[in-house]
Amino acid sequence: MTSPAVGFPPVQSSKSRLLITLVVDTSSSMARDDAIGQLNEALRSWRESVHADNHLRHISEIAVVTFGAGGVRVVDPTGHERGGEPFAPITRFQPPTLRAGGFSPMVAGIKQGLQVMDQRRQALAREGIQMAYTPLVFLLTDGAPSDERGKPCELWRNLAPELRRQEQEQGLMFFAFGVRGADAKVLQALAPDKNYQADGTDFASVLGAVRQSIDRVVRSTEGVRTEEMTARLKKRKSAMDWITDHARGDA
Amino acid sequence: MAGWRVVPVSVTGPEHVRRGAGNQDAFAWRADGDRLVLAVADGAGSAVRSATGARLAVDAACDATAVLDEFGAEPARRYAGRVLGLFDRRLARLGGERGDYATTLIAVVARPPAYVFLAVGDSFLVVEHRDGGAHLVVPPDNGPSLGSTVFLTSRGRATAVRCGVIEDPEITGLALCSDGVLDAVLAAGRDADGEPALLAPADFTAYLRMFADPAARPSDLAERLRSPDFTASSADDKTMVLAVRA
Repeated sequence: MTSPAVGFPPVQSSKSRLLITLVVDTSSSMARDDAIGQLNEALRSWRESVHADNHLRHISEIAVVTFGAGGVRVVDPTGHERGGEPFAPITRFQPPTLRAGGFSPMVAGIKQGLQVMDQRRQALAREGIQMAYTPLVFLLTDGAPSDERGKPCELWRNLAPELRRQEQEQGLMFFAFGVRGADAKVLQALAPDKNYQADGTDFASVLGAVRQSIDRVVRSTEGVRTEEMTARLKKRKSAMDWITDHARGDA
Repeated sequence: MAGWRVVPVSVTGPEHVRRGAGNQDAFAWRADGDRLVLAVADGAGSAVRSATGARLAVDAACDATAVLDEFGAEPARRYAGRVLGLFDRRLARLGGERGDYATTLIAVVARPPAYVFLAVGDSFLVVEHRDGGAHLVVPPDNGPSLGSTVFLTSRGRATAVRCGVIEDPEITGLALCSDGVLDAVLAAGRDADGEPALLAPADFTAYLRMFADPAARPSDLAERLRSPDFTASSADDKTMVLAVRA
């Protein structure tokens, strides 16, 4: 029997991308209550849920930046120990097994995440590949920023306005998600209307919030053009609605 | 009808199905003597009356052809002005804010060997040349991201209107498409200056050549647009209006 699809050309490769950057805390505090183990497990489950979405599979690329064990590191998202590009198609995402150690250079980690995202965006633009949606950067943490010698660090206060500037210009959307121990005032300053703190070390809930945030962006901007999106954002009371919905289980 | 076979297909995007939003694309075509007018409009996903806006746009494209007493650059501009004027007047009679009816539009008035086109926004036009393959002659008008375009309801519309005339006796097929099929049917390449550009891949002609056969069923194309790989490429509504010289 002849398939109705026979005779039609195959679908072309994607000309647009969704860039997802995870900036992940791997400092020594993540060893407590095996938070790092729960994070590793949650990342593996999250990968499965993203892979189950045809559209996300078609357009998404992911990068993982860690801060803590080994300082600030750009991890190969395909799971290899060495080499590789910071971003890989989500279809090739194999969450590396992260280990905890060291201090918490969160600000340097976020800056590294922003840099690799911007470099990837520029490289794609040179190839004529556009952004399908605003690039998304997610901070996942259980603590507060330190410098590279473990001293409390206030540099996040300077980073917050830069994040707002980039968001304002639609350069990115920044989310700050944490578990028990995360500094709520830092999360709120870095992402005033897009922060979320789970109970205990429930990284499954945090990764659930990541997935829901992605879905909201994809759904809310599907077919929505910039002019209208700007108007809608002005009307929306707060993007915190997204996170509140998640916390209530309404989403 | 004037030696053309027209195959219009539009399917609701999976995201709109999920939300129960319905199809916000619209298409229309009309044969008028030796002329054939084809139009596709893509209502904005977030605008509450965009499906109505899209319908207004394609109807205006069909109703404005009388202004084309001849085919050329200046008549093409007059046609564009008449289409936009009709759209504006009809929209003004409806309630709601103008932006509620946000829609793109691409239209072609064919009287071979001349083809007047009008485009506002990110819908696009591919033509097939006899023995010359497929060519993206009116590319989608995108900004820095796929979410950036101009609508018929936009304040900056005047500078975003693209219109003109193509004179080519070797054109054998036309494909007017909404941006919902862009990712699936166009390829990334480079233009003559080496700059990144969208292109119609060589196998695009298969969409047109298939329907040169009168036995081919439009429902097959609809099924293709609903297939998992097309759906994965975009959650948006998908519309293709194909016209093949008989």
